[in-house]
Amino acid sequence: MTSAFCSGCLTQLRQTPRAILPPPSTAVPRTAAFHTSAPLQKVVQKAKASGYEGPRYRVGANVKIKKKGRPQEKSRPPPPGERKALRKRIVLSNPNALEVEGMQELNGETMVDSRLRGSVLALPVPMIDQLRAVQAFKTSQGWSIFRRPGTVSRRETLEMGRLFDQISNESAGDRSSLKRIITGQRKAGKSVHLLQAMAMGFTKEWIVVSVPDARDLVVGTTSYAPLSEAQPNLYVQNAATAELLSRTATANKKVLSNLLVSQEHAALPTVKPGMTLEDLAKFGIQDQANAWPVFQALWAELTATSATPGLEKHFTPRPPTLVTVDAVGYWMQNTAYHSIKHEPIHAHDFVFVRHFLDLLKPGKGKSALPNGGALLYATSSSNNPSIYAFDVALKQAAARHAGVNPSSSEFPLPEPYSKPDTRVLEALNSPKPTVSKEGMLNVQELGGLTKEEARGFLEYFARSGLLRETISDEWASEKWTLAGGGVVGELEKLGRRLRVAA
Amino acid sequence: MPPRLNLFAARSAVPVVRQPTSASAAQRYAALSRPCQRSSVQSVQRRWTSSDKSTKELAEEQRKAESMPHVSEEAAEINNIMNKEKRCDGTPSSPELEQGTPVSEILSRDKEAQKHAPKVFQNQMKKPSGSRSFSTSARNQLEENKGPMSDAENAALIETMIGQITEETQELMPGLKYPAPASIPKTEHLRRRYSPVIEQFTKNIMRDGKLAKAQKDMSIILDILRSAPPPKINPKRPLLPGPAAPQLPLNPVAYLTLIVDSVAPLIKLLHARGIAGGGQATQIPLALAEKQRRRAAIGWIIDSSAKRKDAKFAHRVANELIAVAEGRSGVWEKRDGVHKLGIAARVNIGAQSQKKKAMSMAY
Amino acid sequence: MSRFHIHDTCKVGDLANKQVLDLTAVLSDMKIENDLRRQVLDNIKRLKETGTYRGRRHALGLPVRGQRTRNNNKIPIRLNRIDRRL
Repeated sequence: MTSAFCSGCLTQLRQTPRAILPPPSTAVPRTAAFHTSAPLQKVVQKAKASGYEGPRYRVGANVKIKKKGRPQEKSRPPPPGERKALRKRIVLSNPNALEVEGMQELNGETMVDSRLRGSVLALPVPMIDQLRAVQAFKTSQGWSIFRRPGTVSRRETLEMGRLFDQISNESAGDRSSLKRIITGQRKAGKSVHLLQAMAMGFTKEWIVVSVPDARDLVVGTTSYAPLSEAQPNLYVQNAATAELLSRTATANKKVLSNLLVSQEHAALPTVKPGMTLEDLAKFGIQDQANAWPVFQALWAELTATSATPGLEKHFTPRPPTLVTVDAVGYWMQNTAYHSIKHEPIHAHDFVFVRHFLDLLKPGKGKSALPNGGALLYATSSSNNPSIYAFDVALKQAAARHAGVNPSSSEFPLPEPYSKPDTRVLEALNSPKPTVSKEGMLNVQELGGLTKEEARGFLEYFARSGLLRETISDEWASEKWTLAGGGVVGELEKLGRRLRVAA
Repeated sequence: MPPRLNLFAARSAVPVVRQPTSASAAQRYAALSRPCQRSSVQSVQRRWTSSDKSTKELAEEQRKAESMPHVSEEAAEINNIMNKEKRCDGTPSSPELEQGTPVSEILSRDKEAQKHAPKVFQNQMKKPSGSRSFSTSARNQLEENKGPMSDAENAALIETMIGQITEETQELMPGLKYPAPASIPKTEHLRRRYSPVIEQFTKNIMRDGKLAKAQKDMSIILDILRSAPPPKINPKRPLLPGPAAPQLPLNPVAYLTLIVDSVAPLIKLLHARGIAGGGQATQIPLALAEKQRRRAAIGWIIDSSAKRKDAKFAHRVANELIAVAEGRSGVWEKRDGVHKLGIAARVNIGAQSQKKKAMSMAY
Repeated sequence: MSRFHIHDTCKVGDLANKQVLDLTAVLSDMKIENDLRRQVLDNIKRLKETGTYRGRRHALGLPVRGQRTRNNNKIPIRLNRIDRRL
């Protein structure tokens, strides 16, 4: 087939105007005529280079496809501190929840009234600030869904209430004391049990000293320093001590402002006899370097049974003291702090920890708490270290309290070759005290609520408008079973879970 | 005997009413109506309705018809038919055009006959046959109900039915001292313990497969809804009818459900290419199921919560939810936009199927 | 850090006076910042002046310690100059 165009037609085509033509190729540089050779060579080289020569050395041969990611969010992070504040925020009231009619407040009578067993007692409004000051409320507890904070009065609570009542009613100077380590499974209400103890302490106008989370002292977040040149192996945590003083001073302001310094404090020349204990505590808060001596002075004042000779006019009988420590298991191992040789420091080498653990042992000559009171140390079951020696030590403490002879075969001993931490075993080795009124260290295990208590607890949910069920014994018993035998935290979960479609 | 309109006659007399609405229905109608005359029970009934004979005689005749009838009888039969044809104004003889009393009516009046009627009839009395494609059943039922089946008989029937059922249950569940519980609520099942909206919302806020975190966020969201002040409902953007606004926070699950359902779009727009031609997309509105609607709404809420300033994701979402309840959120505009586009694009609804049809026609 | 009892999450503002003094004492004995830089430059200069191979490599902008030069000698290219600045 011949072409449709003849050569004549092609010749008659006019030359295309310059504007339509593509611009002259940039590959050929314009150079002077007398220098032709070099540019030509260059062009030849370039043409060679433009062809594909196979994969280059150490370059992947695969085609790179650009990934289409999600567009990055441009929002700014919140200002520093806001997230932590949100995390630590404790909301104690829900204005939408219904007011529970006939709800009784915790006071001297209701805390020992066994008829109120299983009912929820509200915490008095003025006490809430005190409880906040000692950080008794935890974020993981469901305070924020009720109209006002309240705790269920269970068997252990009433028993503790009676003991507190009894100690308070004894004559000053001859009060008994109570030493307990509270254990129990997760969500069994150990921390709330401490809270109830603190609430009772405030009701009875005791002095409440509280360590809300033992973990804070050992995970390497507060400053530490050797106690003195003479004792390089003992360490002091001044910032943490100052915080403890601040908590104690704020919460017990009413009691401390009525007590005066009646002892000589050689280590603190600025402390004058006759000033209030509140002011004494403030010394330590303001001057953190002195926090530990101030705490020691405060403790000496609180445990004083009589004044130093010459200062009798400043002395008034001291009230009982309640000491609570939560998550005490953290104090039974090496900390995240390091000694000068970069060896981990054991928690018992911190004077702060040592002070509170020494209280568990019977006092020498006089009681560890001469003015009476209670030591309540709770273990934690969520995110706690598992320490074999501590488990054994708790069993031993329970056995000792039950009267088992440490040399008998029934006494629980650590497994051979298990290498338990002897310091832990030693710390909880608390023989029967020689002082008659001093309590012996005991281990109390918190279990679940009984069915009746569980029913009362769930009724509180229903009366707050959170639970929409008719609460019968059968129903409550079902939930009691679902909650692992009345574990109070699990009951709370069931209570707040709504069932919309029946 | 009161003169009454034969239903089969009525069918041909009022053809418009019986006109099937669609072509397929017409086919079905045609297919069913023809064999009907020969095979179905109704045709038997029809064949014998003309005479006033009792059922016993009918049965006898039926038996005889199967064997060879006597000559004289046959003649009488023919005569009978011929006479009838004359009566019918010269129209072609058809049993459907006959005026008469259906056997069923006779049976309904005559208790004795009822007892001795063939089993087919008895069955028919109990349940109206619904085998026809065209709807005579309603009228049939009506007719039977109107029939003088006495109350006492009805009661007896029900009694026997109940008796049967109780017997059955006792047979099925031997050894049960007390009746089994009525039914366990749906939410008592482990896998369905959360309400569907909660379940869906949780799954939709899940990122990187971290369900536990999503559940924690969800519980924070519900707690915020529970403790936030009740929403001030914007009258222009009302929520769906439900509990009053002050009561909503007490039931956060219902609150959340109401919010999600209120902003859930009814439709989505399908971008169909190649219908309009020229590579242009045609938007075709599609109706959504309940779960799809909720999914769309939850997605919008989460998206618009990203613009908030709160530090935590759960707080952002919860505040956005409250904003939706109060009509302040941009989610409402999104929903309105989709609805508006959908209304504008409703002409395209048939477009895709039409296109397909046109394509198949062309080939 | 454990020499001065500084914990893991410590901020500079949280340091006690004694710790600050100890730190300053230790740091004052160390050769840091510009002194150290000058020392490094002097060392390189000495290599160049004595005409060593290493000095030459420094001046040429090539790796000094026997690395290959086919590909990734990015850092010598960037840093090694005749008048080196650090």
